[in-house]
Amino acid sequence: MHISPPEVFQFTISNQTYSVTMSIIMQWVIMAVIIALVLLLTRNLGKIPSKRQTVIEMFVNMFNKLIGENLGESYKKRFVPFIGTLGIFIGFMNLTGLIGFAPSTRDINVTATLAIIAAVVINGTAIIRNGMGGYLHGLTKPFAFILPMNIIEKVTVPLSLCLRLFINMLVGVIFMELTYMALGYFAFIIPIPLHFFFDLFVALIQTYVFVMLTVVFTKTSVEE
Amino acid sequence: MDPIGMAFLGAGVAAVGVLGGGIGVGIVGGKAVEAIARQPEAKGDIMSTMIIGIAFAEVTSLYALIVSILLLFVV
Repeated sequence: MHISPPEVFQFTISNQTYSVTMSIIMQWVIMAVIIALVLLLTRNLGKIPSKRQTVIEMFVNMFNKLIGENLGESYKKRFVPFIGTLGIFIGFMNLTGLIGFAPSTRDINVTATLAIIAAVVINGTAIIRNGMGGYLHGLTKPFAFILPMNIIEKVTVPLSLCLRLFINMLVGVIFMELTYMALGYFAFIIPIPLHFFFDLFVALIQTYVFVMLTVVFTKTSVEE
Repeated sequence: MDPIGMAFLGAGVAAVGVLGGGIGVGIVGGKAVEAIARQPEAKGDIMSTMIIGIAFAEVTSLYALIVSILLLFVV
């Protein structure tokens, strides 16, 4: 059994070999699907919303509410596009287990990249809002002693974001593979509730948790 | 002593650490139900706070699980 994603092809640039894995291919497909969906769904929007537009507006309002309640109204313009994109992208990646491809997020390289993006946004927002001096001063709160702990916290926050998403999806993939291995040719009804739990419930909960924790950590780092 | 066998044994011992996370998630969920029963109109707020709390409690048990998975599949 393999826990790393299968490799599709390799290419070499100046003696350095890069291998393109299945998780990258799935991400390209998902990006194409999202672009196509956005272009299709946002055609001829009007003042009087149609059925399709009402659903889209509900979706956008969900993110508006999430940012407005947790971060404040002044963050809406900058944060709703970022958090919305993050949520939709991670959600699509987690849900690919339903159509028979292992989710891209069970690859630690993917979740590490997402966590680094989140860390840049978390610390960048704190620097923009408080200024560089305020940010550095915030590291020595409540007293100067605690500076090493605060610096360690800057590393552990993205690390825990990365590992949480990665392990949750990996456990689902391993469990489903073990189930299919154990059942062999008799895999009819038993895997359905397991798919429902691991590929739908856990996937959506983990998407919500990742987005929510990014918002919460941004808030705490700005308030420091 | 077979090193592969010892690695599998270590994986089993490491998975005991999952116990703590389970207890933590249970306490968080139970308290959230109590809070909703006391104040049903604050359900939405309690639910989102609960999911964050569960995420924090869960990650400690996931660290034990990653040690177990690494011992099983990588070593």
